[in-house]
Amino acid sequence: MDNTLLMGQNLVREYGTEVITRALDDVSVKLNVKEFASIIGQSGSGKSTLLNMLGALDRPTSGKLLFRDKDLSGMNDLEMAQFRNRNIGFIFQFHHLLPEFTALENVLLPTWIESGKADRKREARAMELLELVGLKDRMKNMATNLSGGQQQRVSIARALINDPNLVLADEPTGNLDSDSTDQVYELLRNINRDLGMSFLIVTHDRHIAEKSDRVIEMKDGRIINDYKTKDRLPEDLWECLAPNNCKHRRTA
Amino acid sequence: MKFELKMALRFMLSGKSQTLFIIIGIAVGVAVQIFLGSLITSLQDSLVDETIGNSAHITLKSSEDVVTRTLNADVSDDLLFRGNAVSTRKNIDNWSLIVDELAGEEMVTAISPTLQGTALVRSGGIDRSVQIKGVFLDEADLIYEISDRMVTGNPLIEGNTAVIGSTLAQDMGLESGDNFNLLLPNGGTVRLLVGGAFDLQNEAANSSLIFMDLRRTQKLFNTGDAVSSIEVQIRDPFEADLIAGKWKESLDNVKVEDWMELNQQLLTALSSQSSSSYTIQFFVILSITLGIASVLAVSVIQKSKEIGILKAMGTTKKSTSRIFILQGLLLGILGSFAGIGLGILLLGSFNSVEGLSFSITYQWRNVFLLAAIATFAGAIASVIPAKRSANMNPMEAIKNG
Repeated sequence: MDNTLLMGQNLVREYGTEVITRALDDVSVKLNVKEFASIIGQSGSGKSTLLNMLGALDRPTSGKLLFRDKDLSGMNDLEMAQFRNRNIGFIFQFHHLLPEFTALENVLLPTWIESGKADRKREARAMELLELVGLKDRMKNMATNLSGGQQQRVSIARALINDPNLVLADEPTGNLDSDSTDQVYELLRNINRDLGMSFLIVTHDRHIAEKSDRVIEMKDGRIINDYKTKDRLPEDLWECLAPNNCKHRRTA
Repeated sequence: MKFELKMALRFMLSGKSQTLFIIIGIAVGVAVQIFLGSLITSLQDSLVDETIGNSAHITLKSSEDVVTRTLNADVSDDLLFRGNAVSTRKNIDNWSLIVDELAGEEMVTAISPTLQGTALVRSGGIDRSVQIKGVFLDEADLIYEISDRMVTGNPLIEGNTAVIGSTLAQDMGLESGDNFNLLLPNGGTVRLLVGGAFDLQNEAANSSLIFMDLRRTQKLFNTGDAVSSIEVQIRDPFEADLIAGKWKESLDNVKVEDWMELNQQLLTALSSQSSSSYTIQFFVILSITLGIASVLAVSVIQKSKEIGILKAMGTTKKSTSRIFILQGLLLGILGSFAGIGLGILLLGSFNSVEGLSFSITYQWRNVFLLAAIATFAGAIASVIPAKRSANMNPMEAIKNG
């Protein structure tokens, strides 16, 4: 059986009409089922653009994007919205819970969007997920009454509620302290192992990238490095994940 | 839909003071509309009632004149010069046919065949010229409400018993049960009995009107079976001109007069009053709409992050805009209901002030119409903000920072 979940071919994304900026420049990438991958690179390197595109939030200017065998690039807005709801879980840097709702309601949001109404069965699942992220006793708290780390764990539970095939995270630990960062990372890793979803994480954090299965490094809208972490020696890997890219380090 | 409603409610609750202010704003607007609308309608009703409440809406008379007397004795009766003859309107002989025909009309609420004539009342050495109206009491009651307006005596008109205006009774020192002499134009005198005195709340009528039995009046004036006019009231007085127009076509040898024709000035005043009231109401609705629109426009900006998140999680454009349309509708509904309460409170306090010549009444139909318009305005107001939210790019909201 083909192990490929998502495949981008020659993806190009351009912005602007008069002055054209190329945020993605001919990127081809393949993501496998159950893979836990990190995207690293300096800001402006196109990481988030790639993530948004793979998450069907954006369409490529040119190129082809296949999810399993479905072509995402030809979908209309409605199809894309439904596709996101069913197949993609999003985790954002600033947790982005809806402040008007409780933790439990925030987790249930994607199910409401999907079916238009509340559902007991889904509620039980949401409670399970909140238990999984260690917030069983905070379910009824309003989102604003949770700490940063707790909010981020709620948003992880939310990303999982519709059993997506792929979880995309944009700097999920970006504004958390190191203890919370570790907790969140462990959580993501455990979910990846236990529930078998693929993860793609944009990060600046070397600790997280180091523990991924695979690292994709971007610069100026291109992928300049794509390797499996187990193929490298630990010290070498740590070096490679430094703010500057691998090649540069080596030659220095 | 349930999801969108939930979002709309939570969004509104999260900006409590914002929501409360706009609801109060809508309520004040709706209350003013209800108050103003009811005030104008009640005022007009009272004016119209004063004008035509106790008179015929449409009067039918014969279209032909008849010469009663030539002034110059030398000229033979056949040869008439302008100004040398007194002519009066001919009476209607076939009135029962016309009455039957009109009775079939759905709009007609009262038909009273009337024989009107002038005479002199002589009592205690005083003469007073009066108008005699010969009527059937039951029919005339539908127009003049004589029976309900008796100040003394009984509403009794039969044979030589008549009811007279209250001022006339006072001036002539007549009480019910008294007799008085009536001098007729043809020189005859008849002795009548005062059955009672009425107050039609109209000084001219009170001081010079006498109601008598039609048959008796016909005999006194020697008119045979004829009447001088047929007085008609209709359900909606403002259709008098239309109905009169129709009858002008369908009835021969009859002159049809309606109250609207005779009261043009009043009608012009009423219609300009109405149009200024509508103008005010229109601008109130306009400012309600703009108020809701601006609150929602601000809300879309305030909630852009949340909208972005909802969209990333798969909320469709349609669904996003529904959230804001529902907010507009809810604001309209809540504001309208608060406005209905406030408006009725205002009317109550107005009516409780003493010394008013009329009281304001409201019709639930109009109140709910205004509420429905305000609610609809809420929905309209939300269209642009809803569109904006639908077209919002989720990536903008999710962007780090």
